[in-house]
Amino acid sequence: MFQYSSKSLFSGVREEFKILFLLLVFVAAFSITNLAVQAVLFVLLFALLFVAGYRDFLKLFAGLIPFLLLANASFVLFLADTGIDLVHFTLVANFRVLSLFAATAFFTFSTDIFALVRMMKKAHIPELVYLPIYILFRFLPEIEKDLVEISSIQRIKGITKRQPILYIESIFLPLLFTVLQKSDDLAIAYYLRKKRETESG
Amino acid sequence: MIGTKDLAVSFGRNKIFQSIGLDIEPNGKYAVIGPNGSGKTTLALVLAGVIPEFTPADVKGEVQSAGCSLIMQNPSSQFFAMSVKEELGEKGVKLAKQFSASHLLERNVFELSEGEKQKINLIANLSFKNSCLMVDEPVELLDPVEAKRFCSAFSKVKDRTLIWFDKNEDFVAGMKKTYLAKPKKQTLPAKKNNVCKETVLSADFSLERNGFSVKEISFEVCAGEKIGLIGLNGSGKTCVLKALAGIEKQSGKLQANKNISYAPQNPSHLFFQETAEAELVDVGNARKLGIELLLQKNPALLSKGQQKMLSVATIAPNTVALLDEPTTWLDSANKASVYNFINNSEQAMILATHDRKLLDYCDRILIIKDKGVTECSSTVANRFFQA
Repeated sequence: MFQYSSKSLFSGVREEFKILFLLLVFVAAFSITNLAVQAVLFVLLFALLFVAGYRDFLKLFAGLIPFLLLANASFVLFLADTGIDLVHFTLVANFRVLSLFAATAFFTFSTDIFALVRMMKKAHIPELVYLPIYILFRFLPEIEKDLVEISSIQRIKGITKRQPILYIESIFLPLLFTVLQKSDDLAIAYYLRKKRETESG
Repeated sequence: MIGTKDLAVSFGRNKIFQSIGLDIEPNGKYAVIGPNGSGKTTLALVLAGVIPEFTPADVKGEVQSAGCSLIMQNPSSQFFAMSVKEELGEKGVKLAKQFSASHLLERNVFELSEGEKQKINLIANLSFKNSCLMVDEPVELLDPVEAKRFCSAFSKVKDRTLIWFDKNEDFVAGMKKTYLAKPKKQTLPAKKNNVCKETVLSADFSLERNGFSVKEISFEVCAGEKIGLIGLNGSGKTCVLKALAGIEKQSGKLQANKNISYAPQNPSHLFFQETAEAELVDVGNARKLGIELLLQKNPALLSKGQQKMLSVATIAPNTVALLDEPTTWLDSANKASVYNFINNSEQAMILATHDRKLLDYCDRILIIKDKGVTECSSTVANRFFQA
């Protein structure tokens, strides 16, 4: 996830370079077909992520493994009769996905979302593009806080994961209403701001 | 000139108010006072030009309100920049000194307290040449110290029409007042004395996480006892309540002989049933609080004040009740109902609050100060509220 005001080893590097690095990794990952080179790229990226101070590898793998298993199963199902070297193809595809995720994790981990938006503003990217990104990331931590708060309140009420439907309902509905309320407030505040700017010239 | 004549607003079948007349002179200071559900926010949004231009509604009558800006209740929802400097812009930065906010300029908006955010909102609004500034219950979520600071900054505003919308008159001294509904005379109950028969909860622990800490949280709660918990915004009142409820990690001892009920600060975090009645463990609480008429309504569609009343009613009988800011968003009539409910309840209660009057119904007061919890006298509590 993007960083909010906290510093990592690469926080000082300019956002333009990080975006360029991300793009280069994407191009490399998609164009390289040699298994050994893909493996080296993957190892280098994970080492970089480790050096940057990232430690949530378990969460990253836990999120990736079901996706990779599904993809591998579909390769076996749909490509078995095409004559492709399935072992080589699957390994390259897996390393490719791992590299892409590692590069994205590195980018988000070492980048302050505010610095990124500031860069977009400086580059004269229209407000229509950067404002939704800013608002999304500005309010994500608040929504996350609401989620934690709601689930702990429902736990006090005795609603646990043992009653899965009630549990989901008791968390999802209050969260939905809270988010809707927040977005409503936000829309009005933005409308007022624009109106204020227009009226006072 | 700002004003309304026979103004009526409704959202579909839901009539918010009928026939409101306002007459505001330029550069005057005005307060619009009304109880929960009287339509203060709707009126402010009409005057600010949000209704019906942005939020559709049926508006009848005359409205004159060119150039009115509005500061809303929740300070956090009004920021669109990353740093205070960017939020204020060039003109705002110049104004910051006048409002003793120069030290905030280099800060990230995430690092500001709620009171500081509201102050920055005020400066940001003043940096534009609008002839009128409206504030909708701007200190509702602030502690007494932050509220006083905001009021002091607000009193410095000149050359502009100021309109303050609120439920009560605590912060609007010296302003011309308009009432959306006649204020009801409230008879506040006399404090009931409680005799300690048995201990229902005993705590002796510390809280520590991510640089935040509250130490020496050590007290016992008797059956039927009411304990007030006070402290500044961010001092850890909610964390202490959550630790007592067993959902916040603490290091030390916590022994509860009864189950815990918890009414959170934000009531909308609580409700997920179709009717208010389905949310209650004891429907009798609704009768005691005078909210029987809400029982068949959907809690999500209630006003913030009504939701707050319902959240107080959700506490289960024969438990230790932890109430986080039980009187926020309530007008004086609803506050009196909550005082009465708490005063007559046989349950032990711990009440985290910024409401001085509520402390009159507490047997003891705990204050969070210098990262520690200590028992304090009502004189010390008064000093805290007058800070």
